[in-house]
Amino acid sequence: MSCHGGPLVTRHVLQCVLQAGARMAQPGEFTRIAFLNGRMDLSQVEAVADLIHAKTDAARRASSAQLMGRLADDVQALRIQLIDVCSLVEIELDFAEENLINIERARVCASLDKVSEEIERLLSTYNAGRILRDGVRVAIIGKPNVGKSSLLNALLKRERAIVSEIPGTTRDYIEEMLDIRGIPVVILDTAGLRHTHDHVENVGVGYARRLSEDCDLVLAVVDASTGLDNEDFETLRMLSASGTRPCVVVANKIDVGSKLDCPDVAGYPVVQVSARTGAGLEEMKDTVFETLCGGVSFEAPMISTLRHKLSLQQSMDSIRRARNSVVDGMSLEFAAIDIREASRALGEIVGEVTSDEVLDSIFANFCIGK
Amino acid sequence: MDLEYDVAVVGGGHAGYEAAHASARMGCKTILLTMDVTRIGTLSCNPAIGGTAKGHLVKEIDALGGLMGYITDNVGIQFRLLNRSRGPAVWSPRAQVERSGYPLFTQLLLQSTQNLSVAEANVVDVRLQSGGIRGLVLESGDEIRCAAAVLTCGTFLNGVIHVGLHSEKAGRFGEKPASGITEALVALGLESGRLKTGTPPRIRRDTIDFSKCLRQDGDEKPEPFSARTRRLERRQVPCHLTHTSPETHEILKTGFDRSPMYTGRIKGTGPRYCPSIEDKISRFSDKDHHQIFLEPEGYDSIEYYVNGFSTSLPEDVQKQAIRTIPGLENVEILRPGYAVEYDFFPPYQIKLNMESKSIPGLFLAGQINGTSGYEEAGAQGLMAGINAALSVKTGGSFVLRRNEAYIGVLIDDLVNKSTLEPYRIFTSLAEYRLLLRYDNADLRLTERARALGLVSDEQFALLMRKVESMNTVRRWLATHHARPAEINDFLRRHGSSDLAEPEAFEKLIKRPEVSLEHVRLDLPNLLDEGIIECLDFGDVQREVNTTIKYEGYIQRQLEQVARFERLEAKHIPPAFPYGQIKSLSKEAREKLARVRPESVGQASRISGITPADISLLLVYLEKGEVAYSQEPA
Repeated sequence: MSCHGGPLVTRHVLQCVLQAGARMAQPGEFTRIAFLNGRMDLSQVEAVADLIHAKTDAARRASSAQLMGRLADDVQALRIQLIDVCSLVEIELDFAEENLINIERARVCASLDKVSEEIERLLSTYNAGRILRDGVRVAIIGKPNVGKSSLLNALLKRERAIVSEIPGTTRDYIEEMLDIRGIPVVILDTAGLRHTHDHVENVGVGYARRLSEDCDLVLAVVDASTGLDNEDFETLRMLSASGTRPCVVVANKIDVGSKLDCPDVAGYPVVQVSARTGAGLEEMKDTVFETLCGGVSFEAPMISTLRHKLSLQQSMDSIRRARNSVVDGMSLEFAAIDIREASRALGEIVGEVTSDEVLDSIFANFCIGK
Repeated sequence: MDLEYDVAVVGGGHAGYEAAHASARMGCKTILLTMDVTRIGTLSCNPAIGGTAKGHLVKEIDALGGLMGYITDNVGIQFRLLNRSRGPAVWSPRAQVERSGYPLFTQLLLQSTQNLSVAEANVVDVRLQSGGIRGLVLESGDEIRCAAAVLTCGTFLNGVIHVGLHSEKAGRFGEKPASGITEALVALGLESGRLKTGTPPRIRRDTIDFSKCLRQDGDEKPEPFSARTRRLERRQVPCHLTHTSPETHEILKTGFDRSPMYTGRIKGTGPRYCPSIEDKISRFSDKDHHQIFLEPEGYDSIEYYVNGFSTSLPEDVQKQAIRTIPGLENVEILRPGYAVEYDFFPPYQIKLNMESKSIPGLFLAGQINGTSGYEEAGAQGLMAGINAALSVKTGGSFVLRRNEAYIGVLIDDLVNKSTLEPYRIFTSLAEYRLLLRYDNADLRLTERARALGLVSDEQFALLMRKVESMNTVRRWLATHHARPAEINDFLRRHGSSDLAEPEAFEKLIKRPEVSLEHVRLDLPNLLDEGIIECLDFGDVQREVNTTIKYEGYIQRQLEQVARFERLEAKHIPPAFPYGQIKSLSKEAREKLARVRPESVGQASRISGITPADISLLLVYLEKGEVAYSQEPA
């Protein structure tokens, strides 16, 4: 149906259609129909939701790859490999009388290893997949006047935060969206960490501390032109004391001077930047990306939901048990039990195996696209 | 001849005698009709019962009060437990039997069965009354009235046998086929198909050079199939192994242009799993030899059976080729191998209780349902007999599930897969294989058969004693501890590590190096006398050993069963309108409407039904209508 432009006309046409007896599609309805008609598997259905919610181009690419069935293809390929191993095992069991085939146990193990390596690889994408889908929170932390707000502005490429030479200019915290190498990032600029009698500023400092604990990565900004002082060390100590949260030390103001040329401090990588000139910002983004998603390519299929992860883990466990029983010299019927179980667990990812739990989970999550 | 019965069974093969016996045992006035009463219980193919997975079926038949195992025990000439080197799920008993003795013993048992008559007659038609079965029309024109009929016609329905390009109408070599029944059923709307199976040549014993073959003996301590057999005291004779050679294959190939298979004379589909030798050499051309088993046909029989050499090639080619096999250089063929083509009724047309979906009271069992093998036939016959009797008596049904018995796997597969080639049972078809062991068939089934009236007091008492003995032993093993001083020698001897602290016997038995049998044999002084008595009762020792050793696996299989049962428990109403679910593919709609599955679980096993179809079905069943056609709330 084509009509004149303008929202009013369109809305009116829609009203007429509805009055004539049509109804609006419910959220996720077309996806559900596609699933029920066998046009999509479960992993593709999930990809639709991811695609709709994609915040960055990389996230969109990853979910559309999944939508095109790349994850499903990978998982199906693994299932076929498992089924092949299983039929090898079954031949020996069922045709033992005829002495048809005496399979080598090493061959069974090798095939199982191949599958578990591949599952391991998929599992290793979970973190990156989740980060890509849900995004991360990055907090800019540091003592006053090291250029935290300048860094925020430089990353956003606009003057979002007020910048001045007066320490304590930022008192509240600022939250902004950013795309770092495809990762959807919520970046948080915070008040400089210092002891002060200013009540409002103190509340801001409290926020900063809490945010440093409550984010996925910390950018600890220091002044490269002066080098590290006690306050900086105290900040880093606070960060490492509060857990294993990843952190990147940003040595700012290299346009003024650089007295900090070591590659890492307190186990955290150091990047040299100038928020004013923009030097080193790209390297900083690389380091942030590496730290969050090290080694994972967004181009290969990845998993992003807990459901995928649990199924893969279940499958891994079963394969491990199967392998152990083969190595221990147990009769192959025992390996067969676990190999079938492994294959079933994989099947759950793509919805090949129909079980109540899987279906319940689909329908629980079906209201996608709201 | 009396003309009124509760149940009439047509056919005297393995399905037929089991069906007739079960029905009569359940108190129904039963008649078995066959074309030749002296051929009841004939072994048309190899002189052996059991084998991998098939042995399980025989044990289950026995546990349900059937005959096959008991007959085998009485006419067996070699007993072997196969796959001993493997695990308990695939141990399977097999026996060579006397070809002449088997039918004789069967007929004897039938004669002594109350409520059962046996009569020689050709059934040519069926008569219905208000849609259900009323009776069977004989060639003589008489009508046998019956409330239920079981058809077990084997390979006789319009049977044609082929040797090379020669063919003739026969159900077995030298025996007339049956005609009329197929036509009658087709006229009533049933669909028939054509299958093929084959059998190898029979050879003269005194022309075999056994010195060139590998001798294969039976077990030293043979185990009976049947719980009713107290002691097996049959003299055992060996089988012999030999093999084909590249020369054999070359000669066989020269006959391919006169093969009824390759020239297209045989239209029926043959079994992939029991292939003819010509099939083997053309499909596995990289193998330069195939194993051949020479099986004796009886203590005194002059015949030998050439297992593995099933063929329908011309007789001259058979003769020339067989003589290239080591040990058979001068062999004389007594009867050539042949292929037989016969009618069957694709089994999607029966329900899980073996009853025709369209003709109430008509039951089908055995090769008529597209199976191959005595054991598969016997199992179906038994179930059809039971259900025919139930339909007459109470209207109920007796169905075994896939997690309960191989018989359940077999029938469920038949109904849902409705394969177009002869179906044979395998252990790999049983998802819960470890739970369906041959030696717990009685534990799984006998009590249920007892409720049907199929099991004698004596057989039931044996089961009760086995259960009690197992419980006693398990309790004892869990509560009694071995002290290091008394057991470490034993452990070392079996390559296992020392104990530092006392440990429960149950835990010791879980060690891979140690078994309950070891403990029983090596350490009888550590066991109470009562426990030894329990252990030595039947197969208690092995059964307890298995359940302790593989507890973890058994537990996992039980969890799988629980998952399986959830979809089995989702019933589909018999009149479910598949045609109205527009989003089901046309193929799925047709298949579901054809099979009419009783549960969502069963629906998921129908070949060609996808997980998406099942999801749709579940949504429909749950919401009463297709979810997305609902008005928004």
